[in-house]
Amino acid sequence: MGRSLLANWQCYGPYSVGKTDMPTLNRDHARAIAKKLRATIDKSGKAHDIAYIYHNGVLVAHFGIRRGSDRNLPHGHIPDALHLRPRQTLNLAICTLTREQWIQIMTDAGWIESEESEAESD
Amino acid sequence: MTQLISPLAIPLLGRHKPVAPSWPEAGEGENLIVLPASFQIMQATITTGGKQTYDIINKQNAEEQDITAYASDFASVMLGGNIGVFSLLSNVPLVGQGFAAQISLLWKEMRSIKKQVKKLARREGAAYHPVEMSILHFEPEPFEVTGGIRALVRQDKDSFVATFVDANIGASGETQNDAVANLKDMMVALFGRLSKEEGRLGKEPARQLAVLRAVLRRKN
Repeated sequence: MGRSLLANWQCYGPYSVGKTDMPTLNRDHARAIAKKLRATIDKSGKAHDIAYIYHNGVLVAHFGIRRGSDRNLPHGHIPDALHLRPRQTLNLAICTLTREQWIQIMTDAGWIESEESEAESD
Repeated sequence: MTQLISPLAIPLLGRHKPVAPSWPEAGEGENLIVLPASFQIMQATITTGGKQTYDIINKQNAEEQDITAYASDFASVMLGGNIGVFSLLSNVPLVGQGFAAQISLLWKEMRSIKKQVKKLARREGAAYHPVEMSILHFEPEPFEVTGGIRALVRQDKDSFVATFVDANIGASGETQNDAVANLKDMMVALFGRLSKEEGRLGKEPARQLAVLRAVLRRKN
């Protein structure tokens, strides 16, 4: 399953991000990603809100969302936080890549323990 | 031709065919002229427009010949070794295969590399190189630095991204200092949050907490 998801995970619909037209990852994108990944938002930081992403009750990733009046504030730090390339991150924000697919990508990359290996360790 | 010691290599423009009946001609696709070592550049005149005039002499029979040329993309002529590289606009004696082919290849490679460098510079938006900045304190936060913390700051379109690479923690800001200040803010916030949730951290957050503990601690 993971292999097929990895092979097809990029969005190819009308909203997918092509090679030449990649817009800057901004705060709206960041919020959309946080919503899609069902993140918990911590607003106690000074300059950033922090989105914490849990999977099966385990904190697996987090990223900052900048505050300020400008909704176009760049968020170039998010791809590294999510272990994705910039284009992949943008696709996560604006197209049909699901939370489950991102979890699968993280699992395949070894950042999240697969449920099989968790069961074995139990 | 393979025994040339100090040749003059000249890349030719395709439409300017050399005419020198008594000299061998280059093969199809050849775009260089190589003068044997028996020739010597006597005088070179280079004007501001890039036009170059060379007086060359055949040392064996004292025959002289002028070459008029314009600077090509190389924009330089190396006279030290009697080697000139320029675009030819007039008739010259034509010799050369082996060494000429090598120079031709280098010339093409250099043009290709120059194009790629320009393209990369455009893609990056500016010739901004990532810089490393040390974080020495967390004032006014009640934390102190116990290890080396170096933030890598890079430009991201109109803003900057500061990353504590060891822990893969990053933050953005309008300026370099902004980005580093925001990174410090993130580090402090994460230190608290990850410490509280230590029992339910995934691989990466657990590693991040370990790294954070290695480089900073809460003041007593």
